[in-house]
Amino acid sequence: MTTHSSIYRRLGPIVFGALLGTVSGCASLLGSLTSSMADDLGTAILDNPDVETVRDGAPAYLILIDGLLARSPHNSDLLRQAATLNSAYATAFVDAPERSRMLQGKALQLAERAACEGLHDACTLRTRPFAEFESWLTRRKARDVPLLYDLGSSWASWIQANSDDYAAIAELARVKALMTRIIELDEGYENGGAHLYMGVFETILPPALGGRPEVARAHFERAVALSGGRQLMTKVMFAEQYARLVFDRELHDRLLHEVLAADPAQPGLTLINTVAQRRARTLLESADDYF
Amino acid sequence: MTTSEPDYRRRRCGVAGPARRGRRFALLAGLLLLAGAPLCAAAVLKVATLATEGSVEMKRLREAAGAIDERTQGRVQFKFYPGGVMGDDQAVLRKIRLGQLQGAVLTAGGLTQVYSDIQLYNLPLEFSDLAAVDRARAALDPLLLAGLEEHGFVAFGIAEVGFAYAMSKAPVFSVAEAQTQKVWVPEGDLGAARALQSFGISPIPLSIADVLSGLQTGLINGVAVPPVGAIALQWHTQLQNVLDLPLLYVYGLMVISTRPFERLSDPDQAVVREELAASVRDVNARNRADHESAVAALKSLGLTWNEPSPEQVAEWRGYARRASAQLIEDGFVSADLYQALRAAVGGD
Repeated sequence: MTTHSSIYRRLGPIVFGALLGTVSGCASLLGSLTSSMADDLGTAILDNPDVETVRDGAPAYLILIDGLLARSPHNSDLLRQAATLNSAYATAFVDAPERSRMLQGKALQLAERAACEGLHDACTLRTRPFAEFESWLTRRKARDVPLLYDLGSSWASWIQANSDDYAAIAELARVKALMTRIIELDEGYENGGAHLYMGVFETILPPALGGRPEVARAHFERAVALSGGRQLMTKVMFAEQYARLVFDRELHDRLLHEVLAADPAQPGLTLINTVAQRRARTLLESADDYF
Repeated sequence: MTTSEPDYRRRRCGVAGPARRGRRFALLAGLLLLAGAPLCAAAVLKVATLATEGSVEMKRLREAAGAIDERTQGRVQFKFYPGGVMGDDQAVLRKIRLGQLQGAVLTAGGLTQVYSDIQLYNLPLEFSDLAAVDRARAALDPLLLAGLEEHGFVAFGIAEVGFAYAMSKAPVFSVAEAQTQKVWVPEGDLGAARALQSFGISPIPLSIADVLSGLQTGLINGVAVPPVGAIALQWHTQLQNVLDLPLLYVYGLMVISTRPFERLSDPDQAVVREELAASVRDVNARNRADHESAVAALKSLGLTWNEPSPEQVAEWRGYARRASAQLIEDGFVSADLYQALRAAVGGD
């Protein structure tokens, strides 16, 4: 009864990975407004340990960026920032399935438009045959990585929001191919975020159904190394996705205690690290029941 | 632990349930304790499954376990081992025999070594559509579940995965065309290998994890798999054709070994049956919807669904009938159950 069905509903924890996109998206957006006030606001968000404030404040930015886009509908940078902001906000803060699907659908469309405007021959990435998609990826260069990464993360979040729909799940192969190419081009981008995604993808299925936990572990470890251990969510997802899957309680608890012992205040990562510490506490509290 | 006893622990039992309902009950429980009433022992049933944490199956199982804990006031508790951490079906059955586990979610194929009739719906090409499946299951599920119980396992219902279809790079319509393909079979799955061989196909064994790269490199060029599996494993990216003929009905069961189950009190057994049956029914319905969504997705993704001619269908069925007859002759499937199946689906 468990074989293949529903297994992709497990993409959940990646939500926090996408939050990475939120904060960097905000910073870039505000940076593009070229004022010192914008810089200050960007820093205030990235380094804000108060998740609730960010949650309550974010919709204002969603509206603001829609307004800016109406004026510059072909601006690839702006489209990319709008995509990450919508996607990350929905992933992190929107529980209602209908609304989440709506926002993630909007985010993916924006990311597709950003790619279409900013990359060569990128206007039909979702529909062209898979082999052509793969061959297009091999022609991408390191300078394309930011657009590729934001497309991949918006796409993953959209699949997550539509994980009842096998047509959506079917697109995951494209996201994996994107992240694989990013690792080849610039694996350190966004604190090794592409490794983090690949780690999650490789733990969606149990080994008996083709999952590869040891490949996942290598991705998680690489992501931890690339972020210099500063990005605490990486360890949280390593524990939740990998250590729980293989029932390695020692690793699970060690990773989460490291997260709790670390100083969450890191330039650009304070917000995500605060969320990570909350999640670590929840996971430790439920560990006795799980293991 | 080397017996098939459930793991009895002195925990929470008789306190946790009432305490949740309010202070008044907790006080009452406290008074009972003061009066010297012993803590009753909780049976902890350990159950293995391939479902991963966070999947709908696991959520539904944990809900059922929570309801059972509540309704039995903590006397019956479950501990789950998700994600296949206890190994494949064979390993899990061994652990149940050793008493290290009390139950599992298993495929019908995995349970055949316990009760071979459980593969009845697994016989190739018996069903032309899901309506035929529903007719057969309405008539025969109770018999199969009763048979399994006589063989040492209480089952709480059957949950379908869907029909497996032949999918390939090149179009396949006839048995002869299928015989020229390099067809995958799961490594170590002798039943599946035998089934393919009965169609004159010499399959190539690979672990599931190696199938995608096998399709990419051309080591294999055809698989038989339910659409949900083809998409979940992303094999659809390497396949262009589907033979529009449901080959095999795939399903699983949640079971608990009879011995530990019968040590529960009758009322507690009834609660466990009721909650787990409801959970399996939900998963079954959910999987039906997933199967249909996956079939639609494979169509919209541009895979070509090739409809065989009536003569070709008859040829496929001819091979299948001979394979089923052999299984019956060899005693793997009871002749009377097979006749009942044919009658229920309205066949010959």
